[in-house]
Amino acid sequence: MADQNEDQALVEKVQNGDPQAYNLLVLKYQTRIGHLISRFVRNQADVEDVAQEAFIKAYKALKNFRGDSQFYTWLYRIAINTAKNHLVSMGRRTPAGGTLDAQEAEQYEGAYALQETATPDREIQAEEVKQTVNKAIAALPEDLRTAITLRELEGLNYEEIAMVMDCPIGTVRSRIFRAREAVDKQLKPYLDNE
Amino acid sequence: MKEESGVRISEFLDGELSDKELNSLMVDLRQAENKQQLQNFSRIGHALRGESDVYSSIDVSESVASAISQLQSEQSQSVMTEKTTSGFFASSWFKPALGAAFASVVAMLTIVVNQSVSVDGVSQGVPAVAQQQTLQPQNIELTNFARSSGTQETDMAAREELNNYLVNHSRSASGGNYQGMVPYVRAVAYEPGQTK
Repeated sequence: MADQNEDQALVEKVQNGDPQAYNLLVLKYQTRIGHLISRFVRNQADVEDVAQEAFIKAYKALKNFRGDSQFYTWLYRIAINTAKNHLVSMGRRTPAGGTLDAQEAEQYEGAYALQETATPDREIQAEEVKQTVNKAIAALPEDLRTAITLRELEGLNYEEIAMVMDCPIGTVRSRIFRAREAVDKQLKPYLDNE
Repeated sequence: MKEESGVRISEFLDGELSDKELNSLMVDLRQAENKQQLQNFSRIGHALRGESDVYSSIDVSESVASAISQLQSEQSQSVMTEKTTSGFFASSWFKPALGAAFASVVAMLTIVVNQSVSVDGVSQGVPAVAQQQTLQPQNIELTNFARSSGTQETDMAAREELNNYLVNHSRSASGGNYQGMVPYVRAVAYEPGQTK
């Protein structure tokens, strides 16, 4: 719900003529959109092109967005349609004939499974990142680990985490940040090589 | 990097940032270092959830921002052009000037059409050439005709008859405004001022 409010605030800023606010939405959702598109499109360059096109389409259409659905649901729909159009333009069949919603699309394991599209080097690196993150999380103090786990795995918001951990929201905020910062330090060597 | 910015980035990814702090975050993200941290924090979440990291490094924010700024400049340019054009047509002097130009064109057309109608001979007015010259009927010396004829008496009678015919022709041509006949008369006639 908090996420939705934040997105809505950004959308309103864009609608009121602040394109910088849209940049935040792009930064926030580009990875998820990339993952989504990668389920339809074969290589990374195409994924980036389609993602870019989807974000530009969404920007153009944003003046008509009235907030009837969540922003990311709306954005996902645009991304899926853009990916399908890309497949059609490449002379390929679109998956499932047409009507995937955002959740279905995220779970879609269609013609181009991720493993087929990634290069071996990238796959190895991705695996290293995953292992490093898990190790770093395991090494965190318990309060930090609990906070980040409740947030990232359970999807609780700060208020709910505060209730579970019986602490102020400000503390939750700080713990989650410190957990991420600690993991980021462990990840730096891998990410700097990219 | 300030911890404050890092906390804001973390909150933003969790959808917990207030409207006021969003503005501060926009300023924070002008620095590449902060932008990188946002991406890294996002990757941590994906890795924790067991999602593939292959596309986590995707960054289209720069290209999207530049495409949007290009879009905006095109839009503002078209708005400027529209304003300039509408301003030009709406200016106080444009309508009277347009009216005057139209009136001038109509007047010019009227003159040209009248002149061309007169030249075609359909006009009821008298053409300039006909007005300037009033030809007097005069006898014509038809040397060749006389030479080709038979006797002297016959020649004289024929000449007299032909002369009468031409005199009548010339009279009616100059007096009756038969413009088509004037050139004919001038073509076959002798020099003005020549006597019978």
